[in-house]
Amino acid sequence: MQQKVIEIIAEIKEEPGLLQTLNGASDLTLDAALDSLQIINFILRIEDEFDVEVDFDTFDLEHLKSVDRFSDYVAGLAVR
Amino acid sequence: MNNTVTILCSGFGLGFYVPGLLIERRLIALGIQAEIEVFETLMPDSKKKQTDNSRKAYQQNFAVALTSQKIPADIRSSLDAAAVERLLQQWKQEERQRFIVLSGHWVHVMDRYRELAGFSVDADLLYIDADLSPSWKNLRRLNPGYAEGYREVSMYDPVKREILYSIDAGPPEALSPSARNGRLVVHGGGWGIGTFREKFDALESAGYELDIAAYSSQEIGAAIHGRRYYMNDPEWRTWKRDSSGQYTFPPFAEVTGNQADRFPPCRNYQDGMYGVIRQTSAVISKPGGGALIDSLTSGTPLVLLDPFGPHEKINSDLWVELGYGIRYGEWAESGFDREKLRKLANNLRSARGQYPDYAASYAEQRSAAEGRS
Repeated sequence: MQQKVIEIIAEIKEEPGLLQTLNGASDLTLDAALDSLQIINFILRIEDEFDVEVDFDTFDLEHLKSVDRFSDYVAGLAVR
Repeated sequence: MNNTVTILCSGFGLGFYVPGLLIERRLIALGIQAEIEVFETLMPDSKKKQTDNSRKAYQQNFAVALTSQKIPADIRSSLDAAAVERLLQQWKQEERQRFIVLSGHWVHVMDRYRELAGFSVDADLLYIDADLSPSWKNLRRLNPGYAEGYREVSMYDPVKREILYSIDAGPPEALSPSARNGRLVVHGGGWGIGTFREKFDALESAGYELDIAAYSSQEIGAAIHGRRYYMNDPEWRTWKRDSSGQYTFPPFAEVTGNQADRFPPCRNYQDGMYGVIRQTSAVISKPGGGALIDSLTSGTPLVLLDPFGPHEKINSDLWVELGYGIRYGEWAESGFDREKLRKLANNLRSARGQYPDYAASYAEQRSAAEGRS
């Protein structure tokens, strides 16, 4: 999942170079520099890709602190 | 002490701005000094630009708008600390102690002011929607006890299916169904979001003529099938005062797209889209807080489109249960029956004057409190 999440970030940012520079520890807002609109489009793509629904009550900004944390959150949604 | 009531609005949507203006005007008419402040004035230009970009993205894609509500946010990171400090010092110097708060964003600022003021501060937290809208939900997430020390005022009780307060848009009186022009207003709230653009053809096929809200010159189509287009000045922003330093209703005009559009100042609410709404048989719109206020005060039924988030879903349910609105799908199934709209309009007409006006109630409470002191 981690690799797919990075691919989607690179797609949203339109920066293929991010495929090389981002890793599991990368922060989505600092290292990947997703702005608020890009985060929305990223979530939409993630929901579509993994057939999950992100929810205000479970999602936390902390989940954007690293690709790994975000991937764990999405994996938790998928097993529900 | 300063008796001015400071009404704290947000320009994120017109639903958290226009009601503040209406309350301000009503309080002034009742002899109480009142003033508006708009949250976005405390944001740096870069953040205001981001708000503009979000509006465009939300207009273009409703799924983007809906997803924005799933992501928690801490608005404090969007504040210009120096602008906040200037405002707080100004309030303190002026000894402002009475506030009405329409957006949860402002509570962060009010909390700081209450610490700083050195005197008691009275503030109503006025909930414009039937459930917590995003600014309040984000605030509650950061501070579950946010309302401590404030007076919470709900306009609606969705559990008891009641309207607790109305917001008076002023004269003239609501028109009777027979005095209306039979047309329909179709809009997407202040930001032009939702599914309203998809409905034009079906409504016209059913024989209705439309008054359509456009949000950019590209949206102004030909005047076919009796269509009329209206637009708020697209260059206007809620956080900009006019040349006399006042906050105003959006400059508004009927537009044709054939000539450079001019948008005269909108001095009274009925000089804007509200003046069009009050003459029509129904409004087709997402169920925003502003749409409910317009519906109730003008006596115009709402045909309810998809809600913009869970709070608007509660708004929608309430309007259906009260008999003031009908879901678009249900109305379509009836063959867009005019009689259904007439019944809803009659329900609204029967309810006229039944709900206390918030500003008048506020003024009465103030008067009673001052009488005791």
